[in-house]
Formats: sequence, C-alpha cells, structure tokens
Amino acid sequence: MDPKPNNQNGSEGRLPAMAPLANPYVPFQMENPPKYEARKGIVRGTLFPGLDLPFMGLVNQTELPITPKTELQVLGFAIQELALYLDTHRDDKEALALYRQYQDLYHQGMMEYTRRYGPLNHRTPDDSEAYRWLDDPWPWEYAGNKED
Amino acid sequence: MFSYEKKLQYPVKIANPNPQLAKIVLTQYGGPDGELGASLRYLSQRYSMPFDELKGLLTDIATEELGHLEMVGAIVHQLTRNMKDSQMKDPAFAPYFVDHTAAVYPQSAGGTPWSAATMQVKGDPMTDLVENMAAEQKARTTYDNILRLSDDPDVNDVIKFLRAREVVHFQRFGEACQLLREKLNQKNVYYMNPSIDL
Repeated sequence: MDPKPNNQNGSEGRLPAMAPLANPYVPFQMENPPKYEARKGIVRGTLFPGLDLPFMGLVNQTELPITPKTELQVLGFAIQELALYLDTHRDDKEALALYRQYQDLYHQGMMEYTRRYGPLNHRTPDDSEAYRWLDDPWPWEYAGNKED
Repeated sequence: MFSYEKKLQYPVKIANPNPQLAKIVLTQYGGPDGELGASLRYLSQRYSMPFDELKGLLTDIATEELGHLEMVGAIVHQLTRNMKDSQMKDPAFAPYFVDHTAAVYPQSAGGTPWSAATMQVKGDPMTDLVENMAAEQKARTTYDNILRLSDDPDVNDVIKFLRAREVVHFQRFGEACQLLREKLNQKNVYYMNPSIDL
C-alpha cells in the first residue's frame, strides 16, 4: 500500500492511498520528523512538535534543574520516545542513529551517576565499599528531588 | 523479565500537601482509565499478538505505563504527606483515610477498587489495537479533567507530561493498525483472526 503524502497544511502525517472500509486510520508520522532538543522534549512530554497538542494552551515551560539525575531522565526520555517511534518506523536510519547517540550518552551518564550517588539498578557495577542500593531517598519521595 | 530502575521517568516534586486533590489524581492509579489498567492491558495482550512490531510496541508502551503508575503513585504520596488533622477530617478525604490512612491504594476517584473488568484482552490484534486507541483517549480525557480541577502548578506540570504521553501512544497504536492491515487480505481485512489462523 503506497503511502500518500498529506502535508499540504503543514501536517506531518500521511494516509494510505488504498484504504479498505470499516477500518481505523491514523495518519502515519512521516520519516525523519522535526524533533525538539531532548531537554525541551521531556517537559513537553514528546520529542515531536507534530505530536505536541496541549490542552487549552496549557504548555509546560518548566526548566528542569540541571543535575546528574535529570540529565539521565532527559536522555532516558529521548531513548523511550525514539524507541516507540522506531517500533513503527524501523527503517528510519536518522532516528536509529539518534537513538544510539542517546544510548551512548545515557550509558556514560549512568556510570558517572552511580559513582557519585549509588546504583540505579542491581546490575550496575558499583565499586564503593557500602551496599548503596538501599540509600534514601527513593524515587517517589519528596526528598528524592534534592538537587545534588 | 522486569527489573527496577531507581528513578522516575519525569520528576515529581509537590510542594504543598492536598489530600482532596490526591483523591482525584488517584483515579489514574487505579481507576477505570488509569495507568494500572493500561500497563496490564498491554502486557496481557502481547501474548496473542502476531508480528514483531506489535509485540515490541506493546512491550515498550506497557513498560512505560508501569513508570507512569509509579509517577501517579508519587503524586498521591506527596500530596498526602505531613497531613494536618483538619486535612484528614476533610469530608472529601476522611472516607479514604479511614480505610487506607496515607497509603496509595488502586481505586477510582469515586472509591471503586481497581478491576480487570475495566479493560479487555480480546485476542484479535485489530480489536485489541482499537481497544488501546480508545484507552489512550480515555486516559487523555481524564488528565484533561484533572487539569480542570487542579490549580496546583507542581501537580499540573506532571499531569501535562502524562497527558502528552497518551497522545503519543495513541499515534503509535494507530500506526500499528496500519502495519497490521498491510499484512492482511486487502479485500477483507476481517477474513480471519491472524492471532490464531496464520
């Protein structure tokens, strides 16, 4: 089924040329779509301007504090968003390359975070003498936002 | 398998406790269109999905929903910390308090405990994907309604993030319908059930 471009009005999606009746259609997001920078994407809740559709103009303008933890949250968000995109666009080479760049940065950030604050999961090597897995705060606690 | 990652997907930092609002937000923990139902729906549907894109997408969205369950739980937890006597006795919150104190229990805002009757796992891929598109829209509307009811900027910051994720998930499920359709009989996509007839 040949996809038919449908971007006359700035839309970033395309509908199929042949469309059997009695079927649901959502325009397919076109390959290599525009993307926010990751730190903006996470507060908007999407990396893609085309999918940024806020309720009643309520747009998140939050500036996340720059900490080792938020850095991992930003990178982890970009990876998740690109993973869902790649699940339905497995042949988009630009998105795949970007996904791998964010993975490299995440890995570096995670090793550095672990060295300073302790492991984020049981499989991260931590060469400190103490068993730091248990250290407070846990993620759901208000104190989990200490900007260290 | 699943393993725990000791951080939230997006920060939750609620300065002012507000048990009344906690009871509203709780509906996205264990209500009819909440994150518990979303994650269990997608995790359970995976087993009857043909085609690698559908298995992968359901796994990845379900896993993200478990992270959202944790974030909603964190909002409720932080909104009910250090409660004053007057907040416990608030008629809007006292019935919850007597059963669950300041704990996080999966129920709707109206008090109905979470039930698998709020979701479906039908075992037909197109049927299940359409169920999921509807589920994402229902969750989005619930977040819209929370934004109408809440004037707490710390809560709304997180709610807006979660709402945006529903829109993205809807898009991906819609694309999954197209990927599925391309593999079926174009003259009659309902000719058989690809979960058991392929």
